[in-house]
Amino acid sequence: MMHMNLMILFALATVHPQDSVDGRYEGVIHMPMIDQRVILDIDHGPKGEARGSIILPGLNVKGESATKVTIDGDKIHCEFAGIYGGVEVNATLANSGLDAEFKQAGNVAPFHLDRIGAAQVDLSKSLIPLPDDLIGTWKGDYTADFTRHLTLVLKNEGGLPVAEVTVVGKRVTKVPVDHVEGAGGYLVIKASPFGMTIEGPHKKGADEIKLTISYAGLEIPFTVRREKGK
Amino acid sequence: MKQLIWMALTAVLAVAAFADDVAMFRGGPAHPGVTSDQAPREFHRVKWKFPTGGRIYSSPVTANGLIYFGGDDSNVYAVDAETGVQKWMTTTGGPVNSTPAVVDGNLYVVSFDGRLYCLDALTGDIKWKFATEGERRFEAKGIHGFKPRNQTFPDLFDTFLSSPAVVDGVVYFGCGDGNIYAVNGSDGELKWKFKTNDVVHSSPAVAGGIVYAGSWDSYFYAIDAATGALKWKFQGGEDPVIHNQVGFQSSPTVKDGIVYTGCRDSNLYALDALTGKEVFRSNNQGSWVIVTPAVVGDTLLYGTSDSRVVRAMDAKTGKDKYLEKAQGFIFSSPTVAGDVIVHGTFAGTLEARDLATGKLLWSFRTDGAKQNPFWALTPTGDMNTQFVFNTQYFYLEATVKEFAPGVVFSTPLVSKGVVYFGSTDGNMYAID
Repeated sequence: MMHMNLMILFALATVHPQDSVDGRYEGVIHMPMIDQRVILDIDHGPKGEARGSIILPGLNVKGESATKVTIDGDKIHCEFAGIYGGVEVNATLANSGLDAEFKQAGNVAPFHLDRIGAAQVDLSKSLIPLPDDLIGTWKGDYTADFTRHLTLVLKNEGGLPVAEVTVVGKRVTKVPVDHVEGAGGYLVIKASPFGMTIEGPHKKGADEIKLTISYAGLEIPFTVRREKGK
Repeated sequence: MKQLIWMALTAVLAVAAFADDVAMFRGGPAHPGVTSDQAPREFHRVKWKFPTGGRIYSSPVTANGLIYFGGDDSNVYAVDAETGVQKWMTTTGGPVNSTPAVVDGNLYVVSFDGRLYCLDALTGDIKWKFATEGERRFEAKGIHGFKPRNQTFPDLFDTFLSSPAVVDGVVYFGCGDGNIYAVNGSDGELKWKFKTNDVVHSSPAVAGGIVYAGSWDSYFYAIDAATGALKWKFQGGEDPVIHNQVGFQSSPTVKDGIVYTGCRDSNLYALDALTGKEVFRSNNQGSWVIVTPAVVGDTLLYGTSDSRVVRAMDAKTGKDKYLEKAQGFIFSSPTVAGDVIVHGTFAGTLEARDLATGKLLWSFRTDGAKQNPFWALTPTGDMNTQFVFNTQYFYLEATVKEFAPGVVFSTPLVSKGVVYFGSTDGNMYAID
């Protein structure tokens, strides 16, 4: 019986922090010249992992997924590396909400967030693994002044989609890919440092994908085909 | 007999359901702007509000129990109509200041990245994109008197992108590249394009096999929907000096053989839909007519910018029935829902009026309007020009300040007694 009670107590102890933290929070940061509204969503995924996303109305930030969320008792730490300058929110549960500190690009401001309802965490498609039929090596050529050969390796690593893009023209260029999504029948690969996007619809089970590569104001359609055996 | 009554009733219900299912700008390709749904005659509550990352210029449409709209944060949204909880969000390459059309499970919308998008309406997954020759705003040297006189400025009041009209599987829309496009809805293949001489952000109306749209080149066009051939064109006013009184930014409405369109030259034109011959014009002494008119029964309704009036007139003759002052400039088109008119204003208000008299029934202020950043508004809803246009070289600063206080550009949707509309404060509101 005592053993049972201890188990129940343990279960309550592990469940309670989630229940007390999960939710939608809203507050205002008083920045010089402007009051910036912030909406923070925090919940827990099916495996108990903490998740978060943020909305900064007026700054074109809607549902930016947290790249890191840690919850330690009543302390919460969220990082949003995808926002320019990086955003961090450090918060403590207090007064029906969160007493928090907002950091962005070296600027810091304290603020309070009120709990306003249930969490509506946005999960970026870049966090969803690629479907099996996209996994593999794809090759194709495109022409901009001269013909370039593009090799695309698609895989999942740690449950996240990964793309390796190599372009062979007058020299060999490994494209610095920083965003990949392939769920929902549409492949998008972005290399922000190059201002490059490779995208197009893919049909389930197809051995070729019609893509468009966009950079420097150019948009070039081309086709990649699955390399046999890969 | 009972069976006959039942059949008749079923037919009526089917027609009503169809009318409510046309999820398109102004409720259908002819842009009627009239619904049998009754808007509330009294304000009760904010049912929900949904925050986005930017301003909302797009107008909501409904299908599948969802509210669809675009944001200038580059996203297209689907939100549960009842709860305001997001169903999906899809990111495009630019602001989505166009109103989606949802037809046969597909959602079509235009983004400032110069593409027409086709999304799966239930999941938001991208099916295809059609690339135009590129979006841009209307622009001119010294526009509206901005200084320096020889500087070319994009028009800060060119806020909307063209919203697609879908008829018989073909998607029609205008573009900043000056073209009016017809694209196959199934695969995004170009059917035809019609070149005008300036930006087309007017949303085409389609009726009787003719596509109607205006351009900033000062002409209003009627084009054969099947071939893209010109049927007729009509010229509005010109303003070669400050380019303020030129261009068809308004989207047309077609009803009973007449096409109605507003114009920046401060006229509302009624034109014969088959010939383009002027039936009448209604002048507003310098005030733009940006909105899409609504026609209900024999009454034509529209709103104006600077003079900020809601104007009702005989739809056949143009004889005024009433003029009622609104709280701010009107860019948001009037939606007639039962015996109530609802429209938004530049003062950040959503206004509900009695259809018969135009008198204000109730008014709702957005969060942005209540906050009134930069003191951009006076208490009476006027633009506080001292604080908005506070330098002679004010273009960028004015853009930020003028649209900050929760302006309602969005045309309200009324469905099941709830009014949905977006605001530049970033919220989509549902009120009843």
